[in-house]
Amino acid sequence: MIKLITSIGLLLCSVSLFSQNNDISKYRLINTSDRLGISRVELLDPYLSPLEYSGIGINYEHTGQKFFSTENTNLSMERKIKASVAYSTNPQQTAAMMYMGAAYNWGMFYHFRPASRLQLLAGGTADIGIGYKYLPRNVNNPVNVDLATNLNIAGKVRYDIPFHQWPVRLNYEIEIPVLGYMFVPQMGASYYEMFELGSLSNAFHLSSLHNKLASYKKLIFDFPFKHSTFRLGVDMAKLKYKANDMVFTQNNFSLQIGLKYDLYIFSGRKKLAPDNFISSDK
Amino acid sequence: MKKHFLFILLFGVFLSSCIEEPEIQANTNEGNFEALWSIIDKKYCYLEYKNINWDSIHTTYKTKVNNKSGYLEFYNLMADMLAELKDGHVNLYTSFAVSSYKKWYTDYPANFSSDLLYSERYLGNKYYSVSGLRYGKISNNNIGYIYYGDFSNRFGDTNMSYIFNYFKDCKGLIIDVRNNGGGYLDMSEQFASYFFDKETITGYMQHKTGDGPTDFSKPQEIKTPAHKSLQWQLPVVVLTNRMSYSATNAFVVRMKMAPKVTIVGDKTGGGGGLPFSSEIPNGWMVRFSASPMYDAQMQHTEWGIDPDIKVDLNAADKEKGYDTIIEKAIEILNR
Repeated sequence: MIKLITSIGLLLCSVSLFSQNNDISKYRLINTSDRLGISRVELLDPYLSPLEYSGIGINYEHTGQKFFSTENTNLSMERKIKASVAYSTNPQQTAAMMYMGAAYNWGMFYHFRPASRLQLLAGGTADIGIGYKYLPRNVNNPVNVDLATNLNIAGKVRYDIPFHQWPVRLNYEIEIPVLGYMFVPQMGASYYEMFELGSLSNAFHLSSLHNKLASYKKLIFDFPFKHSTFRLGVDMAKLKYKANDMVFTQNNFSLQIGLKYDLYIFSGRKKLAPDNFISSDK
Repeated sequence: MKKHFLFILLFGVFLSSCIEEPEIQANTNEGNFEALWSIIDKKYCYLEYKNINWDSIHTTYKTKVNNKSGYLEFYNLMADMLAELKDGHVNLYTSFAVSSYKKWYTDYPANFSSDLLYSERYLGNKYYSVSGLRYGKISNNNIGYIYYGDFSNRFGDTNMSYIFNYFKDCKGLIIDVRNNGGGYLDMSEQFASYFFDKETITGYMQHKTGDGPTDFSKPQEIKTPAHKSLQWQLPVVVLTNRMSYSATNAFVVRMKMAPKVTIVGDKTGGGGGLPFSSEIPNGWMVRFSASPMYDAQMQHTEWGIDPDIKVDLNAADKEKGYDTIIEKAIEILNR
């Protein structure tokens, strides 16, 4: 019995050693980006007010992307975490609306490389997001919650601009929701009636291009410095959806600054990743 | 390729046209009048029930709207228009004034005197006060008395537990909600739950589902639960007057269905529509009744709740230092 256990143990050890020996040559890097932005925000929520509110906000986005496997360098996955807060007022500035939102996004991309400096990424993402709008002047309808999940089509263009010895990268990204599910209360339904009395009828809606139009676009320049890569760009988010005879809009134009790095920091011009570290960014 | 591009372009235009944003009126007196009229036309819940011809009111007031008139003149005109709804839950909020309709209580007897309430015959100076509840023993310490003047004052089970314990040797309890203009609707449920022995359907609620005056959702049951650990078992009299309004009205609707409870005093002021808010282009806010509430028999509660025993504060009694309504409650509880 002891011999049998010893044999199995040795066999497992040899298998794991063999695996390690094989994988040690390649590693998948997680290309990570953190961006912080200041934005111009426009909000229209007829449940709270028929007037469009506008103001300023700050937003943060964390992105991580890596290839699915060391063998396939055409397929990558990406996850994003977004958060934003905003303060807006009505056109006459007699009332203020606060906004807080967060979203989680996961997606897959296929990498096309039609030219040496050009990458085209096409894929799809899924997201779930929650937003909280608070208009304290209102009496029994001071709050509305945006709750939605979406399936999106997404694309990216990466182009390395030859600029003397300084390879600046231009990134363009677009994401468009095509199918989803969203919470929109009926115009006259109070949160008291919905959540205290349990009357949630007609509050959840299937969304698609017939009742929800949105595009999330980014234009970002990457500037590799000595040890890191700085990012500078703009975000343009336009969202419009209709449910229960109400049309909601949410527009953001954001100026962003950020930093791009790998799990092991190889970004920048001086710290290039060795060949056995496979990056979905390259 | 050109055909594909044209198709995509047209498809995009078609989709965009599916979601048209509503037109916002101009920030002029005329634009603000139209916006205000439209909010009430689409969202106010009692146009049909009160038999109000809102189109006719539009005609009447439109002729009086002048883009050159000053803000105060325009405010007064809009306040008059909203007063046509005869609703205490309808207000126009501006930075210089808030309009309100008051005839739901000014046209009726007050039926309340704080001088009498705090006289030695009743609470005097020997009462306790916690979280908006003023309580003491009256009628030779035989009757417990609670005055609750504002449903915006939150109290908890611990408060009520101490109060019930203080009244444990009393024959019964008076809950006085006269001159209580309302507050939090959930407090009306909490307060009433101490007087129920089982969960009971005490009313219904609807909300507008469309712009038409009869577009309402299916009635939703409003249930009053029996409190899990704190239930008053002795007789109770609830005192009401015309200024018992809104959440207080909702409390009385619930208490009507409670066992061992008698409502005494004047008809409540009503306010059966849960108010919502909206605003017009000049930034003024309008509050209006949006969701009608009904009693257990599916009757509107907007115009008030009749007491079980109608009693008015008698002037002669008042002269003698008696509150006729409290005296009637004492008589009922001493039977």
